[in-house]
Amino acid sequence: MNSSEREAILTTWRAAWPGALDLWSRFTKLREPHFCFSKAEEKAEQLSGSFAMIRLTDQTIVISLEQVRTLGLQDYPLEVMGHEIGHHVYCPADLTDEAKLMARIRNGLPTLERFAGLVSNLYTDLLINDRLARYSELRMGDIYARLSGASANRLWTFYMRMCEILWSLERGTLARAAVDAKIETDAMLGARLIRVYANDWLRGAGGFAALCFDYVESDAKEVEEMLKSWLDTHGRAEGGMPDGLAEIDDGEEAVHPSLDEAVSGVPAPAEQRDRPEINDAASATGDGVPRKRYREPSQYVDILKSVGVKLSEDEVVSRYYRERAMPHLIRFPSREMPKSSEPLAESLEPWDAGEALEELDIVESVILNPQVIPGYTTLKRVYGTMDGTTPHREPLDLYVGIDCSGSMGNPRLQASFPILAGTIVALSALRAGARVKVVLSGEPGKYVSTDDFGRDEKEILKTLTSYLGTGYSFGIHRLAETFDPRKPSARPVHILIVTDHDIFAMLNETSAGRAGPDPRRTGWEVARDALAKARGGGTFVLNMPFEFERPGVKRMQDDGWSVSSVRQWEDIVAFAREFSRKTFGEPERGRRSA
Amino acid sequence: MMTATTEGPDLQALTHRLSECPADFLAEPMIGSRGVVDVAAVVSDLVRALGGTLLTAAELARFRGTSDLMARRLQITLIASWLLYDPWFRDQQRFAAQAMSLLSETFGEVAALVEPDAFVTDPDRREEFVRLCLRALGLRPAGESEAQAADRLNTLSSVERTRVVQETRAAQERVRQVREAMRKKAAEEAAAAYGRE
Amino acid sequence: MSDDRALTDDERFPLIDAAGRGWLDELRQHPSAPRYNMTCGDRLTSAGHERVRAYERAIFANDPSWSALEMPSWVTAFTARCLRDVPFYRRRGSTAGSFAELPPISRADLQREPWSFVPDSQPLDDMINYWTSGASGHSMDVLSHPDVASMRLPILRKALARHGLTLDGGARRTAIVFVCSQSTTFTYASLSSYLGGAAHVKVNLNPAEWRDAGDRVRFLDALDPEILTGDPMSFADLAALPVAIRPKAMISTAVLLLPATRERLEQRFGCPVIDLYSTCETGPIAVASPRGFEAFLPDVYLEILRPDGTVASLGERGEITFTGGRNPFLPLLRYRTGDWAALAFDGAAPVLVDFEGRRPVVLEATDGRLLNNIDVTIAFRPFALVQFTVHQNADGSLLVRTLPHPVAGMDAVLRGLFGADQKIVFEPLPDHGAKRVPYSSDRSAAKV
Repeated sequence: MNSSEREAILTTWRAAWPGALDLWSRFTKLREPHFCFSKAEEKAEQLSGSFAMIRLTDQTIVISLEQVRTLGLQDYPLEVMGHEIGHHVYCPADLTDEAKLMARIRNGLPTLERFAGLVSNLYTDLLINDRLARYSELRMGDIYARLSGASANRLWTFYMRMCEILWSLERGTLARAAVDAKIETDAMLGARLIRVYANDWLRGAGGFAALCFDYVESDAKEVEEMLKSWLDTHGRAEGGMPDGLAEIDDGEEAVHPSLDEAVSGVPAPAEQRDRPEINDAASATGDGVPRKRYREPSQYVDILKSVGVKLSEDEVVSRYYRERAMPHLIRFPSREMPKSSEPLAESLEPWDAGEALEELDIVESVILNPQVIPGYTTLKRVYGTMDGTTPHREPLDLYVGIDCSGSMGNPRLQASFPILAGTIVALSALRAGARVKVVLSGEPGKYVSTDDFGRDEKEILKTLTSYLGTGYSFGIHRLAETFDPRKPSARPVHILIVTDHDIFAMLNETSAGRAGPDPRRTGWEVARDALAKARGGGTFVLNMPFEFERPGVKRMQDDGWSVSSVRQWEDIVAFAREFSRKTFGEPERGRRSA
Repeated sequence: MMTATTEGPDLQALTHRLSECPADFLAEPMIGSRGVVDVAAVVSDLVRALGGTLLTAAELARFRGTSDLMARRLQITLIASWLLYDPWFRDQQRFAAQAMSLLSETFGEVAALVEPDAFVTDPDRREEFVRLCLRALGLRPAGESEAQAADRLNTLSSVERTRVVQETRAAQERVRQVREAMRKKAAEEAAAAYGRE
Repeated sequence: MSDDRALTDDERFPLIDAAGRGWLDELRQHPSAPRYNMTCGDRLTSAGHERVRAYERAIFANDPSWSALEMPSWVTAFTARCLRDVPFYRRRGSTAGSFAELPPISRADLQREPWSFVPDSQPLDDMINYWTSGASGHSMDVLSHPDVASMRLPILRKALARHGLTLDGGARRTAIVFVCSQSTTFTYASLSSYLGGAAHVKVNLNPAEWRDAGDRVRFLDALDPEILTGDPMSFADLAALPVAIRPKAMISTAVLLLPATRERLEQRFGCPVIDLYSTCETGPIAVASPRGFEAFLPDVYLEILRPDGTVASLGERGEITFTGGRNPFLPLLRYRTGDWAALAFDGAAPVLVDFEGRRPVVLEATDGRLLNNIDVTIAFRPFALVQFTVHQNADGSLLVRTLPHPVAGMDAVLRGLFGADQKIVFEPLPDHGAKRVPYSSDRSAAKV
């Protein structure tokens, strides 16, 4: 392009920009696009692969006018810029929408989820382009015609036939290959779906994907290739994290458009009406109360990955369990102000990453060590109060030990109720001001634990959601490592152990070759000694009926342990909520109605 | 089915006319003691306006219904009458006979599938309705080829759509049932297996 | 989980009687019994019982009747039925002019849309879903019918009959113990009404699954089963226990059984060890004989296909492709099993020779010679390997993992094949893999 050509195209496209904004709403706040004329400029603007994009970090549209000219699209400024703006204002609009969209599209593509990204693009592009073609009479079909040529690809033919139907184009204008009866029917349903769900596009996504299901496996690759210069919504999620995705939305299941009366316009036969939905949200107890449904962690991770969330899997899985634990946590304690009272600086304690920043005593920390390492050299001042005040409730610290042996499932693949329970209890303890130590153990074999009792939520959740799958039970002898050296002046700790019947075999084993100085001590003795040193009580939660081990359970109780039985792991969630309330909640003042 | 047609009026003008169908033409047809509009009288006026003669008693009787399905068909007849009152048709003074057969014969199937209102309110149904009427009069929209007109009507046809949806639905309904059964059975115990595979 | 409904024993065992009920209680409450982690039954109804009996008559009356030149006669009608009644084949194969033009199907097709393989006319009430969840969250549903599970029994009988053996069952006896040895698997005590109410018990030799490790021997000796089913690894673990059982036969599946291992097991238990070639999707296909894996069931038709889908010539190795309709929920038309062999017809039944699980992997000797993985398997024959894997790294070095480990003499044999200065690392095989012969290579030459 010589400089006068450059000048001409730049002038045309700049002049068209206000009109492109008006296509959607004159109130759309977007600055003028960056127009690039060379590969170097495109690179500087992070435009790669496609000729146009909207950059999420600063909401700027970047367009390569060089590529536009090569593709022969120089006379389509409104179409190209209007389309980019559509992704900003219409769909998918934001990251949470995009993730929910992806969840629904994946439901329509069972076992072919790897094509969800492409299908999501096909769907949102078509919604945007239909709106531009219909309300603004833009020539969206021309752009596809220029990008694709005459491909015999069935997915593409289906997609193009949908465009023809939507925009009343003569048969063969875009879909150049043979349109058989199946493609014709699917395209008819797809075109209707685009119109019916234009204003509620999330709801139409699963059905759209169900239509694509029969085509994607053999044909998606080629379509991706044809559209690559226009696939502009990929990898948008730099740094973001959508919320509320652990829960499955109502109506998230994909319904084939032929079974969706709103789309087909053909009433269902009477016998198909009033049938329960495939995943009936009502609970099995028949009380008719819709129960919340959650997706599995592996699905949660897949969805977030598919929208380009860059967090590590550790963090994503932690988020999942945190999200599921939230409704079960104790309330934050209301601070009771002492009646009389100068707070009195009492002592210095270590300050952990994760604790409130205002508690950090930076001066004392620097005095201790000029090189400040959060959580290691940092201190906080602990205040006492003068006499005659409301008694200060010092929270118990918490030791959570979870059996992570071969019989426990991997919490990263399927929701693990023991891990969810651990999350509820640990986060409740943190709310109450306690410090928490988490130990996962599957022994003989491996174990993993937080360094010590701490308040770093991230570290605690990361440890909880690790997975071992070794050995046969919780290595009860590990308690010696934490509690043998524990000083009588240390804060009292409550020990919570989540395991199943195999713990009794472990309790009978001696410490030989395990933690602790005395190789003759059995697991029973280690546990009893730890309980004495902890001074805050201890609880075994066993996934088994008591009848399995009456004598063993009795011995635990005689040693001072509380023992709870859960018959199914699901039930441990209710246990965790109740345990948290009793151990870390505020005393009830008056009865609240349930 | 491809019948020879001649080029007729502009499609947009007619769909626009439909969208402005007056309330009188959407009122309930008279059937026995119910309803307010005497469809037979409206049709009679229309046929004369298109250059035809007075209707016979037998012809008039076709537009005085007795059943609910008849009521829907008469409702559609009223809407079609409004459409055919368009000056383009009246000016030609040659459509009376075709209009008569259109009004008394064409809407049977579609009346069973589509709410009459949709032919006024829904853009696709408006277009379908105009194309249906034009074809019955031996016409096609201005600027379209024979094949284009036939193809577009086929794409929009409620009758055709119902047929293919019912076919697809039978298959999809079976898929749904099998998947539902799979989901239930996955939660249920299987039968004991006698060895590894 | 909301409708995770436990069945009652009457539903599990539609044909159970009072004696059976008593026997079942004993098996469940036996003082040395393992901690069963599942309950299940044969779900066989009286109509089902009749169907299985008819099936037994049919497979004993007929041997495979096809040859290199001729398909079995039932295939034509079966194909026509599939194209008419099964959505997947209707969609995919309706334009084929002949059987050989039908596009073969693969595991990915079954995994993607198992529902499309259920014939339209098949009632769904008796469906069973053998559901497996894979490590990456990808699950596979294999749909089946209770009759299909019990049809396994006549098939076992026919395999036993080749050795002059019978499977009799009978009240208060144990017909089959299904032996596993893995970190975790379902275990249960069940009855087989087709075998007159005899017990069928699945156990896991992992000591953590028992109240006392010594119970394993006590329980198995107490059951005194007629036959054992399992895989070479489980049988090897069993052989190491001081059990006194003397089964009539052991039926091995799932993992390639090397001759030396077979001989050792046969000596230890004093009975034949029968290697059965079977996959989850197809059920039993062939049984090992000195000639190779012999087709012995009349309702199975096998072809050998080249990677391009054309039929291999006689004696040419290719992918074993299965056609058969034993499972009413999964009629299979030209299903590529993923296993490789050649077909031979030498007068008697068709036989799969040069059988090797999975597609061949080409390995490279130090002087650049290409070796087929089957060469290595042949070289391993003298060793009593329960299981092994061989991997060639990009730099040409070999990682050989074996169970047991170490094995004297393997080093020399491999050097004989690959060259004297071949780099080899030997390691113990960590856990129980389900692969038949897991060869792999990072060398580019491995691509066939």
